[in-house]
Amino acid sequence: MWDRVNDALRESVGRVLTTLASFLPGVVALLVSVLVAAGLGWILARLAERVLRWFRFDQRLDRWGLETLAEWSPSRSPTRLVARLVYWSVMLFGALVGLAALDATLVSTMAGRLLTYLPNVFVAALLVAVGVVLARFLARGVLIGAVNLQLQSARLISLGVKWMVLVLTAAMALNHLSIGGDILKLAFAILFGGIVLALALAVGLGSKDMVSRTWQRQAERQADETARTPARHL
Amino acid sequence: MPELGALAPETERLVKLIGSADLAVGVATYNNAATVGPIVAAAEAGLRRFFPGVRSAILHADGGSRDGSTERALQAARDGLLLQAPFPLESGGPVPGLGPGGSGRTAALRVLFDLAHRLGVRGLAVVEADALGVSGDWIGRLLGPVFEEEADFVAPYYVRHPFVGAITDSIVYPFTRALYGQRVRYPVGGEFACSARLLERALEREVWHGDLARLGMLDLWIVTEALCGGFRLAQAFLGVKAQAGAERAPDLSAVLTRVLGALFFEAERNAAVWQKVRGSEPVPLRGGGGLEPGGAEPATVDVRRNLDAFRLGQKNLQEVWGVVLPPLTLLELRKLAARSDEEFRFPDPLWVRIVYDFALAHHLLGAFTPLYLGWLGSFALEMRDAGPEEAERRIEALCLRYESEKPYLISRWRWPDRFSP
Repeated sequence: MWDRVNDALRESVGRVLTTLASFLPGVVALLVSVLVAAGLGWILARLAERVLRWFRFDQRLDRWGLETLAEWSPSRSPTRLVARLVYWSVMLFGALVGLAALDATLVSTMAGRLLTYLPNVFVAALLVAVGVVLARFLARGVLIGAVNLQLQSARLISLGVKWMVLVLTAAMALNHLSIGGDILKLAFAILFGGIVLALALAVGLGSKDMVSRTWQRQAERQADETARTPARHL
Repeated sequence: MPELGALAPETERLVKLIGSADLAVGVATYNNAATVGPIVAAAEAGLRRFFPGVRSAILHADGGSRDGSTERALQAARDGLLLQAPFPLESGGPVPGLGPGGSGRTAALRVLFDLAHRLGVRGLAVVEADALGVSGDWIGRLLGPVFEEEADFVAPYYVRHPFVGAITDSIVYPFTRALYGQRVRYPVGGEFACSARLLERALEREVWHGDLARLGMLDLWIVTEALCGGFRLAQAFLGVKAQAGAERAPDLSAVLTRVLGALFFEAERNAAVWQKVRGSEPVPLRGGGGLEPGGAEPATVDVRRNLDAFRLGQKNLQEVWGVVLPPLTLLELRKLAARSDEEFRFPDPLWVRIVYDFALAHHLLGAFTPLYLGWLGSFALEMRDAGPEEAERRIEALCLRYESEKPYLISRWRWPDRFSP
């Protein structure tokens, strides 16, 4: 009987050692892949940073009116943001290659799925980034315009525009990631429709007189200005 | 040789018929029937009186007027040589019309310059089509320095009410003077004269489709080119400047964006030149006279409204101003907004630094409007009982401040990161 127990134990240890021996190269490959990715990522990130600095990327963005991006960047430098994005993209790629090398079915399947899902994540991230920049850009434009029109509620209008764009962006990004499904669309439609209806009711019923008075004041002010203003500022 | 634009066949025929001229007066119209007649008559009288025996022509470019402007001009030209040519008035531009910033200004100037060059003139004077009170003296004073080869560019010099032309008084004149070192009092007045050399330079350059052309601010390119390109300058005293037909009050914010955009764009283009300039020199004035206030276009400033606009901006635009202005300036603006109307005075050093700060941030010029209204309100409070001479002294003090603060602009220009708020 002891012989059979001994055999069973030997077989078991042998199987474990065999499995380990077959798994070990995968682990080593994962480590090598991550290390190589880290090195390559570092080199590519430095290269991207150098090229963008030569191109005066930060100043150009500033000049194009996209200084919002600086506020979201490490050390207020969009160049660094791009460099870090390059680094972490290469790292992610290296990690996925390493996981695939483990040859574990579950890990491989996960990595495979992740790889096919990755484009969706990228597009959603891009949507969010563009949406955030657009929201801030529009909010700023509306704020400046409203202040120049001397509207007391300039900030409120600007905030409204900003959040409308942000909500729309979030809905689009989630839809792209297939999160939420029809519930998200319904919720968004109800929310948006509700806001518009509420505004229409508020203006149409509650603030009708106030709106008409405001427009009248504005018209009177313009007429008055045309009549007596110097208006020749140049 | 500059590349000239194509002229209509009828205009080509007239140019050939006239052959050549030594001097020309140009006027561009778009529904200016009420004023073009007196302008053409004054131009003819001025040319005859001040330049007798000199071959001269009156150039009239029209953007498709429907009020009989071309006929009025023809009637007014008795025995002078009137050369009429159409120009395309682009639709959809920022401001329809011909004044600085108007969408037709560039096309009109291009036609006038083309005609003048084809005629081989030694000097061309341009008069705005809605100017009132144009006299023969204007033509003599504008063209005289060019004809006598004393100047390549002659800028106008007007008598105006202290509250008229505040953008010129508070920004365009002091900024141009501090940067380029020449005291041209009205850099973009509308009227000017230029020599054949400057005219040819303008036709050679790619300015007719560039940013300044798009902004309708080609006048500013011409004066800046004269200031930086080694041309001689002069000023012509034209007296009271009045204009007909302010159909509607212009959008101040749009005017500021266009004018300052063009001004700062030119500063960027000529950065290598102005960084070497210190102080300023007077520009000779022809026909100088006292600053008699009589007849100047009356003007009022709604101080309360301007200060309210400034305070509203101060309350809401902190975040935007923070991108352009250093923290200390923001703090001073906050203190200023807290003052009562009667005590409200925009300090010159603060104002000058703000203008210099915005010169480095063209894209946020929309946020400049409340600041300008604050300055105008303060100026109106300070000058409410002042005459033109006192107002002129006040502007002179502001100009000196612009000059003394110029190192600040140079520092910011060279090392923008040092000042990042």
